[in-house]
Order: sequence, then structure tokens, then C-alpha cells
Amino acid sequence: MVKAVDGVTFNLKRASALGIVGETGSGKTVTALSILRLIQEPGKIVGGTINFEGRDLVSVTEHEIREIRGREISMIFQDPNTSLNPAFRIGDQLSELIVRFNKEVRTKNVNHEAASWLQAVGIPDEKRRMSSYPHELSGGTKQRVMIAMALLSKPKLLIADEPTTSLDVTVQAQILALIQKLKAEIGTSLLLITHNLGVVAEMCDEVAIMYAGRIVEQAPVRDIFSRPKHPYTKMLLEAVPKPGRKRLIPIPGNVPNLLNTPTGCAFHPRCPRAMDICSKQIPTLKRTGEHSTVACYLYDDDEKPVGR
Amino acid sequence: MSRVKFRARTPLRTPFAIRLLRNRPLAIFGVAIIAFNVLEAFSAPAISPYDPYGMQLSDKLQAPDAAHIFGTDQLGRDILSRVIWGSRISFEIGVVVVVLSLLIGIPLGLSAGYAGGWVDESLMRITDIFLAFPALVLAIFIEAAIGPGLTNAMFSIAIVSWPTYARLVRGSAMSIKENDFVEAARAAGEGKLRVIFRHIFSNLLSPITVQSTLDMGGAVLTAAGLSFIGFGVQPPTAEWGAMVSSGRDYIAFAWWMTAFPGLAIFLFVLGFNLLGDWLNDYLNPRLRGVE
Repeated sequence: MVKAVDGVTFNLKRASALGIVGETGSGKTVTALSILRLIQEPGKIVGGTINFEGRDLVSVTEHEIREIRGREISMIFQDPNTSLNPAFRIGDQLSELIVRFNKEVRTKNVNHEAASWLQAVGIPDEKRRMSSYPHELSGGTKQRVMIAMALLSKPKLLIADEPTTSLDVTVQAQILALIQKLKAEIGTSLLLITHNLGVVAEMCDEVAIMYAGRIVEQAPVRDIFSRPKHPYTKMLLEAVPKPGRKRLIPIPGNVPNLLNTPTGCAFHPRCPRAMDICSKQIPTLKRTGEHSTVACYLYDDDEKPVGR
Repeated sequence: MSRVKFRARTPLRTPFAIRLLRNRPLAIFGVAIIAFNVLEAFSAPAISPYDPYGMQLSDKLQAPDAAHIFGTDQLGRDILSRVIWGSRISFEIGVVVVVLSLLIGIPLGLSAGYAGGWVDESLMRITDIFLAFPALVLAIFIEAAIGPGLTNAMFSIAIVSWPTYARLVRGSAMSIKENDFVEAARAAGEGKLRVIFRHIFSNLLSPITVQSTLDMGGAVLTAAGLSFIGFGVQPPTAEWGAMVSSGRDYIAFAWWMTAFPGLAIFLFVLGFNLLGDWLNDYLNPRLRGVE
């Protein structure tokens, strides 16, 4: 059995935003899909709990999880180009969801509401856009439609899986601003999955850094940028371009193959500060501050780095 | 600086189908052939100059002339009238065969493609068994077993043509279900059946329509083949394949007996092939809106 995600623990407070950051293959998306129980066969959740407002999403019935999906927890996907059904007009796709989430809505009001959602996500000429097919829209516009579709049920949690990765840089900022604005209006919590630390700095209250299926560090967003603890976090930050930085320092090596994860701390083969113990035992998350935890032997319980 | 006024103008939009047809002479030709055939089939009683089954032995084997434009056969029946009435049978064969094949092929293909795993394996191996035989040979075999006749011919042709649909639907369903919009539909809480029929099937309609159109011609061709070798539709029914078959004995001195029904088959099949080819483009949503 290959564990794509193991021992991932985090809390997300109401109306706050948590960023999950990690390289490709670190288990970010699997974590997100697990929350909605959308892991496809042959994959499965073998253990653990996902507590959502007092209900354990791992053990609720299929019927209950379907009621939660879309209604209480929504998801936005990475590629807006394939996230809309190409066979239907976007107005119809929106209306369908409006009717599903609000059975009482009058038929004649459905179109009106769909159009007002298009307006809310900043799509101009919304009346005409209602009758567009997805391929007639730009990637950014499609992602706006996806956001409307995800938020029209006013969910309590929005999971955004790399919502801007496949968009132009200029459009990325607009989409993020839109998510932030609607999140505040609706009072939804946000789980933002990304590999872009800049996006996290902009959007999130807390950050969890994932590596090879585990969370290696979690802290408020300020602390991650000002006082990163885990060597992996530090190296990630050094690999991000910023003004005044002459050279980027790449992290040598690759993310380990999950079929063959290194023993102990999965990062130890790439870690410049690896010690003997790192290859022998998996470090557990240790509390280093009021809201911060790190899984690294360099830190003992009172936040003093050891072995420096 | 002088001010330039731009006036927004909504161009008069020609319907998309017409716009696409405009630059496709072959498609226009195909549509014309089919339109002509449809008209012919509908108005057969009105336009056929003679009774297709009315024998006039004194007029047998007449070469085409003013009285009998396509000539007469060995029993003195008017070939033109028989060709006109034959279009009805061809449409019947085409539609029934395609509908039967769809009824078998779509459910099997959808289940195999969506479920995957052992469901897919077992259904597709069954399909492979049918595909392993040459279609016409298998149709002849089934026909021989259940006896000749129009209904049996349609049944046996459907039995050999459904595997194409099962394969087509299964393949498309497999690739469509990997799309994010299927995952998104699940994430929005939609159930399995709704995902299959609303989200996967909706995207299958185009390939199915194209294949069905092409098969209309194919079914008629196979039926004509069956009739020609003595299975399938039996005389005196005015079916093109059977007509070609009965003209075979007289081909040396009455070429019109085989030529005109043969031409009718050729045009019918050609028409549907050209239409199918064009539909393939027309139904592709990515090509829509292209000026």
C-alpha cells in the first residue's frame, strides 16, 4: 500500500483561510479530495477523522456526504478549461445548481439569479454570457464561472485547488481578489491549495507546508515568512524570486517517489542539516509557538534549535 | 484631434449550419441526396408512375424510354416505380438497424466505460467476439439460422453493428469521465446516475450522431448485400439489393435492371456518408462560432 497522505493534521477556523503549500506530488490534492471523500478507486481513506462542524466526514453515510458536497463544502479545480461541461451553456449549468440548492426558487427567478451571480463574479454583459458555451469564454472567465458555481450555495468551506495555476499572471491576481472578496461577503472558510508562496501570503491566515504526504510545518502566515523553521520551508522561500534577490537557490534533488519514501524524515536526503536521527525516525509535529508546529529534529519543545 | 465614432453593429448572423454548409459543396451534395430520398420516400404513392408490383408481361425487359424512364424488369414492372418505393424500405432498414444497435450499444458501452475494471473487461470481451467475425459473414450466418425476410435481415444487421457503438461509447466515456467537470459534478454532490447521464452522455451525443449517420448508409449497403445473395429481403419486395440481384441474370441484355437500383444504393450510401462527415465538424462545439 502506498500512502499518498499520512498523518496530516490541521484545523481551519470559521471564516479563516488556510494555505496548503507543497511541491507537485506532495499530497495537497489528495488531502483536499479526502475532505469531500472524492478519492477514486483504487485509492481509499484507510484511517483518521475529518471533523466538520462536529461531524466526522470519514464515517458519515454516502447520502450525508453527498448532501454536504456542494452545499456546505465546495471545490474549485485547477483547470477551468476542463471544469465546465462543454455540452451545456453556462447559464444552464448555473441554473441547474441554483435549483438543486434552493428547491423553492421560482422558475422565472432562476435565470435572474444565475445572471446576478455572473455579475457578482465580475463577468460583464452577463445576460448575453448566460447563453455562451464554455469554449467561447477565456480561461479567466471560466474560472469566474466556476467560482460562481462553487459559491452560490453559500458553503461553509471552499476548497480551492490551485485555482490560478493555469491562468495568466494578470488574471491570477484578479481571480484571487475575487475569491477573497466573496469569501468575506459569504463568510466562508477557505482551504487554498497552491505551490505559490506569494499567493499564500496574499490570501491566507495560516500556512501548512506539505512534503511527501506529510505536513512538515504549520504556522501563521507572518511567521512562515519572517521566521521559517523547517529547513524545507527555508529552502522553499529561498527558491522564490523577489526584488533584490540576485540568484534563486534551487532545492537539490526531487520530491521522493511515494513507492520508495526515504526512511525517517522524508526530506533528509535533500536536507543540508540532516542528522543521524533524521534517517531513522519520522519526526512528529512539535509545538513551537501558540499557533506554530514543526516536524523537525532541529527543534526541541522550547523552540531552541538544537545542534546548530 | 478629430473624434472617430465607432458604431457598434450586430452583424446579421446567418444560421451556423448554413454558414458551415456554404463552403462545403460535398456536404451540400450529401444533404441534397438525402433530402431527395426523403421526399421520394414520403411521396412514393404520388410520384411513382406505375404500381411497383404491377406486372405487365407484354412490356417485360423494356429498355428505358419515354413510357418507362428506367425501363422494365423481366416481369414487366416499372423499374423507376420500384426504385422510388425502394427508398421507403431503405429508410426503414437504416432507421431500425441504427436504433436497435444504439439500444444495445449505448448501455453496454456506458457501463463498461464508466465502471471500468471487470465490468469493462467482460463486456468488451463479448463485444470483441462479435467484432472478430467479418460483419457480413456473421449477418449471413444469423440470417441463415433465423430465416430470410426484411425483419430478420434488420435484426441480424443490428446484431453485427452494435459492437461499433459499444466500443465508441466506451472509449469516449472513459476519456470524458477523466475530465474535471465530472469531478466537479461529484464535488457538487451529484449522484452516479446523474453524472453518467447528464455529464458523460451529453458529451457523447456528437460522436453517436455521426456514427449513426454513417451507419444508415452502411446498414442499407449490408441489407442490399444480403438481398443480393438471396438472404434478406425476398422478391417481390421492391428492395434495391433484391432488384440488383434479380437483374443479375439479365445483365447481358438488360443493364437497366441492375444499373438503376445499384445507382440508388450508391447515392443513398454516399449521401449519408457525406452528411456524417459534415456532422462530424458541425457537432464539434470547438468549431462552433468559427466564421
